[in-house]
Amino acid sequence: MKRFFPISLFSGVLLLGLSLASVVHAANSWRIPGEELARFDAKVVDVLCELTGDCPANCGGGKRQLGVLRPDGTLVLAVKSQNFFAGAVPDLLPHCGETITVDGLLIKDEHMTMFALQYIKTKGGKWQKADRRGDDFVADNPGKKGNQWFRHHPVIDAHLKKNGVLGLPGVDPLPAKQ
Amino acid sequence: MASWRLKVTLTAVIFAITAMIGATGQAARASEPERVEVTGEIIDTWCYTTEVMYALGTAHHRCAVWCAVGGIPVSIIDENDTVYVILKIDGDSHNASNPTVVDIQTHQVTVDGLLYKRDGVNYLIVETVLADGGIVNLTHEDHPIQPQ
Repeated sequence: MKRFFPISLFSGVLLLGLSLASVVHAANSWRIPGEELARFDAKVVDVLCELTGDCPANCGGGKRQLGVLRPDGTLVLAVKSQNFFAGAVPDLLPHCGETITVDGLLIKDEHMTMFALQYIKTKGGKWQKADRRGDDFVADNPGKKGNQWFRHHPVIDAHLKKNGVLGLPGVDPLPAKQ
Repeated sequence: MASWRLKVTLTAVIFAITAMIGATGQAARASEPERVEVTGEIIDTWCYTTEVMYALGTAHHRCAVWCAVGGIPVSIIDENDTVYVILKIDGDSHNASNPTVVDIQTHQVTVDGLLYKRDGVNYLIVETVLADGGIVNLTHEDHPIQPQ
């Protein structure tokens, strides 16, 4: 009995640790109507290629919307990543044509069905957070914060400087109504 | 003899049913493109469909630009509240973070193109922009700039 107790305690701690490890990378609810927590295996595809047969190399090299093709043939459009205001292309592109495990939110809205990518895992690899947009921005803009990429992006800065916050050159936003 | 005929008949029936199921599933997934003319506002797909914030017109313009540059799909919402995800416009197949599409965010447009319906999404190949009325939905007069 004295021998058995430490072994069972060790086993319990190990099981708890393994359980927590699997929980760490589970998708989180974002409280979006119609969302379902979803984890599944699927192949990374260029959506335009999948629909029309117009297929450039490497899924368009980052210039095309990507999706994941489930084994039953269902095409799921990956719309969002974990970065603010950013899609999932930078996270999926390195895996073009590869079958990976995706974890996130499958959202079935009255308008459309889409996927918010939160984590990915390659076969035999580790779970990775889907937030490469911020990392890529920091790599291109040393000293800037990745989670605030949208406040320092040159294309956005130029557009807002030319057109204003409202998109109407010369028109200032009105103060919000009380 | 009767048993042999029964086996052949059953095999034929099973084959036919399997073929029908396969054909039906295929048709449901990959629709033939349909030529359409769509009039509506260029929107950010994520903010509009998830309703994470108010996502129309001038009040949402800055956020729509952030999202378009960030690579979130850009769509057109028409008067029937149907969302069309733009995959190609005027021959340009760059549909993620495309500066051309960023420049027409929030515009009221009429386009002609091919519609592909697949697995709950309306995908639109815009062949011609028939009209671009610019930004006409002045929602900032009634809504604060988004996100607040």
